Amino acid sequence: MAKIKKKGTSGQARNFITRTQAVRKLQISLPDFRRLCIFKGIYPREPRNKKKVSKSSTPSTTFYYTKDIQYLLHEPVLRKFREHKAFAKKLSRALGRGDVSTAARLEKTAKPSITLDHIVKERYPTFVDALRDLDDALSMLFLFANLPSTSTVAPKTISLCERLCLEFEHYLIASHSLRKSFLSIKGIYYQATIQGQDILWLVPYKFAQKVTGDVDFRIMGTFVEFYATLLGFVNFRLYTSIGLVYPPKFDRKSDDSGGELGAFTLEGRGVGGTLASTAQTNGSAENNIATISSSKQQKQLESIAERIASLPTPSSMESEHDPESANMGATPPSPGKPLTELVPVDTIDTFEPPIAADADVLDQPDLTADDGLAHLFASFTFYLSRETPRQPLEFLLRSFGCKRLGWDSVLGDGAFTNNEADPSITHQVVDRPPLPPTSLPPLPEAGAEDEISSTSVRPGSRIPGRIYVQPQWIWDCVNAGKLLRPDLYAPGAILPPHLSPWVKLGEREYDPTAPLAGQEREGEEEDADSEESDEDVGGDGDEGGGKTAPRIDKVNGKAIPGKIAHVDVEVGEGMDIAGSEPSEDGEEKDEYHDEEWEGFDDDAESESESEAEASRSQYQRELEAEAAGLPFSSVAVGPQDTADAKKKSREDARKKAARKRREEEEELERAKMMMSRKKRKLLDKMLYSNRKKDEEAETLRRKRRKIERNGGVK
Amino acid sequence: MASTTRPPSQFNQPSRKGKKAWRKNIDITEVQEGLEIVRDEIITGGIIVEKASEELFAIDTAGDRDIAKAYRLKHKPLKADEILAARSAIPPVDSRKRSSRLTDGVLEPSGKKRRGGGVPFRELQRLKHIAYGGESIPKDVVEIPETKIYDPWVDGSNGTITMQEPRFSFLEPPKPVKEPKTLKQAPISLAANGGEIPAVKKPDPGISYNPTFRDWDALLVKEGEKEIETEKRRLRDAEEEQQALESVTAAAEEEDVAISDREGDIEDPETEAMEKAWVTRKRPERKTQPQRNKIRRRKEAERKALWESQMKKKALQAAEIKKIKKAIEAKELSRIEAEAKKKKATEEGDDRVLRRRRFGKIPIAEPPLELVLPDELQDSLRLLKPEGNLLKERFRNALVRGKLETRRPISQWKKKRRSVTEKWTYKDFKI
Repeated sequence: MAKIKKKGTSGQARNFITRTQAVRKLQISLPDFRRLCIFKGIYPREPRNKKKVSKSSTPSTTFYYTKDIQYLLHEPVLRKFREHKAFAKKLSRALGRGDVSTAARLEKTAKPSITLDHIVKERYPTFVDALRDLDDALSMLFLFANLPSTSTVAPKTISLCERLCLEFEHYLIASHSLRKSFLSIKGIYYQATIQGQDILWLVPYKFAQKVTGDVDFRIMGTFVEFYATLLGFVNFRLYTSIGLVYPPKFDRKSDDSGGELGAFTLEGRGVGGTLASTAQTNGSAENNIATISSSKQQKQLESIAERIASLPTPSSMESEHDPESANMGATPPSPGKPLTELVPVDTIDTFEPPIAADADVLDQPDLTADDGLAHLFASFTFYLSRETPRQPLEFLLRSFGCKRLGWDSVLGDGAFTNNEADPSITHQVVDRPPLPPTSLPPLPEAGAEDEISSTSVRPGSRIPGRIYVQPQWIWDCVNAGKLLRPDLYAPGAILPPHLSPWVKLGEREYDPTAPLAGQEREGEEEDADSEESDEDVGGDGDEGGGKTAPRIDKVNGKAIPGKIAHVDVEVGEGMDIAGSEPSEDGEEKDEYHDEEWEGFDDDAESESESEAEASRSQYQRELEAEAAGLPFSSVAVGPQDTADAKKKSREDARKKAARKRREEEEELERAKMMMSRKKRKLLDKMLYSNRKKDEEAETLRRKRRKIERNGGVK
Repeated sequence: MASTTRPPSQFNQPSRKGKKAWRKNIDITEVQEGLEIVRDEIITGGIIVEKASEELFAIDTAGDRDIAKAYRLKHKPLKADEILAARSAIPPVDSRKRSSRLTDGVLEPSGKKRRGGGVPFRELQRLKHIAYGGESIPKDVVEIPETKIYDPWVDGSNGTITMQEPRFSFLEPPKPVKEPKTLKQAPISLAANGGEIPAVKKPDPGISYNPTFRDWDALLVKEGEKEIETEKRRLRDAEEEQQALESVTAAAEEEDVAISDREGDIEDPETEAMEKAWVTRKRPERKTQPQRNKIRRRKEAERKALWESQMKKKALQAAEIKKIKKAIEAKELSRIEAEAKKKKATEEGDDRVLRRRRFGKIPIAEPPLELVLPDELQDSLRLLKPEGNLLKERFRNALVRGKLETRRPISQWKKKRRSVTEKWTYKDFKI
């Protein structure tokens, strides 16, 4: 007979350990055990068969790997937890004797304490690992930075979180690595790309967080402790990687008066390890460089830079781990250029496979690709009205290149200017509907007027020569990667919808941001036109638009044109209106060199609308003629003939498209005959869902086409 | 010989009368010996008495080691004495307690007596908290230094290089503690589809502060359906409960009726039938011995049949063991493949639909409804009312990702149990 084996000595019973067993083994209390597990990243596990694992009859709910717990025995933090117990006993003895001063001294000298530095290295062996786990860390720290201080959340913790977060934001500003942002009802989402890793985090709105009782703050506090340590190291690494000194100088006085981002002063590590300070404060980035380099120093720097340039430095000599030497080669701070423009040293390895002549080209990631995006707002001076959220706006504008940013003095310290009437301001962000002139307070008397008008502006009034926008404009510009039409975002205007930048549209879905021409199927427009004309004959042309339209009005309280209007920018560009002649707005024209702005000016002039209409229709006719292959002369004939010709050509195109479709369908039918039953069913299902999607998209496109036709390019 | 011819000794001679007292018989041995000694001394190098003491003696400063050793072995001093005997060069600290009333003579002591020894009250409270609080207070063992001054991802930057002593160079260096592979395993996601739940989910387009109608409507419909479903379930549950309650009360009433009937001895066939329908409890009856025997025989036969069938099966399996092995392997392989496929298909877990098995006893709370209702829909950032609670969301996220087990929040910690007893002294009285 085989040897009888005792139960619970091998297999699953040995591999797993219950929570109570673990706590007993480590000889600490349960709260300490939970903290330790959070620090070390030890998670509850699930045995395949719980009954086989636990020896007791009561059902245990949490199991851990025995090896994990065994490994915890070596942990210095565990030792410190135990020491704390001994320390508490000493303290209680001293207090029991009434020896308060001894107790106080013990608390100062004998209290065990430890940092989590070793755990950070252990849990994230490489820097990229740490970056991958930064989503959770950032969300948590930004959340705690915005909490009110209560008995459960110490003010010390809050200020630490705030400082770390602001430092991280400064890095994003300096390295231009912020990519997207989204205003949701929960908070503001941000996405940054650091060393090829996409990092997404959520920042709550200011003053919106309530501390509730059903959240275990000791657990959350433990997470915060660990993540604060992590973010400290990450910040250090990131700062040194772009040649900045960590920690940045922190001005407590400025922070107390609401300076936030402005309370920090970044310092660049110059050539040979000298410190070059770069004030990151508003509007003084260019000027401040001059302060470090007196003429003598400047010459010295230049000569060193020349010498370095002349040296044949082999790239292999530059080790990645030596920020000092890497900076020498990559970023000598030239005196004319602000240090904020330093290029990150972390370079992407370029992959250059041997390419055959006819092979496909693999797109390589490029750090310089978003250079234009990084300076999106570079040439503007913004002013934030007091009702706008300053913190996100400041962060967003500055990380997309805005250099001068003023705001109302109510919003805190660190503004480029607090004077709303400053002539250098090009854009003002307001979030208030314009007041009717009657509701404005009467003008002050002439005597006082001179003094007041120079410093303050009457609330609700507009200063000519600048653009007023609502805050959403900035978010939409950032997500679109270009400047959008500000008139759609003017104060009081019905804003276009704020779209999520992370929506991945399917192939068949309707994309509101793309021009219509690109996404419609062949011959769709012609179909729609003919239907419409039929309906016109019938008498109710508006009904065909779709049944959801009235619902929108009812529920959303918003007109459809407003909803889809921002799409039209690109449409205007696509149609390339011939009759647009920029006439009046000369000064604005200087600022916008983008093509899309050509459509902007002709909106402003309302008198020449009919003229523009005529020219547009003419152009349309020409285009159609071109498509149909008719000679140019035929277009120029009178409207009667052209109408006929148009109809005919449309008819042709429609027929052609229909024939093609029919052929495709027949082909498909034939293929279906050959398939097995199972596959045929699957295909049918797929086709059905595709058709549904197509129909939906088509409805939306039809709606939009109609709006475009009727309203013209708004 | 000498003793026989010895002259009389002066002091010992008892009498001077007789021949023995004659001069020639006077004892001069002393003188003789002395002279001989002197002669000998002269021969051996000079008269000793005349010599200087330096010539004769040498001072032994070292002393005899053996003696000292022997002595020490016998009289060993106490360790305590040794310690007490040792004296430090540094003068001792004055350990005398000084009263707070003792001043430098310039300022009069204040009338208020300070109990805390200069420690402020709040500080004292805090210390008491740490000392007596036990587990209910957070111990800030972990300290977060204000600034980091090194990069942990650069090798050897944190200065943890251990130097080996040259004396012990022959020893193997201590092996570093190896972390188990299980430590790096990802936590078990609690999503129903088993996918990994992201730390921060990509936002639904419908939760934009100014959404497109389509996205918002889709979200509204989705959430609405879910709410309707839960409401339906709630109604159904309530109805079931109501029915159960009704049946219980009905049964109780019937029983009462039955009892009263029996008491009154009124035979009503209708009620009897009802009663039968209601309670058809079978009364266990005693088995007879033949019955028992029969049962036993039957059981035996059954067991035998089972055993035989099993043996048959076993023999069959043994015959085609290779085939079975192959089948099992194939099955295992297909299972693994299916699992991998499933995992790949559901990359991202949904944190709203959770699986039934969870860590901890109490269920994870449902996520709050994050949706702007039609009447609250605003298109201005200023008028936006934020929805949801990010604190709760972060906490729930940690639970759902399997990083923590659920626990009932503890608002009041267990107090030390105290037993109250009455003193008996009041009984010890005398009249």
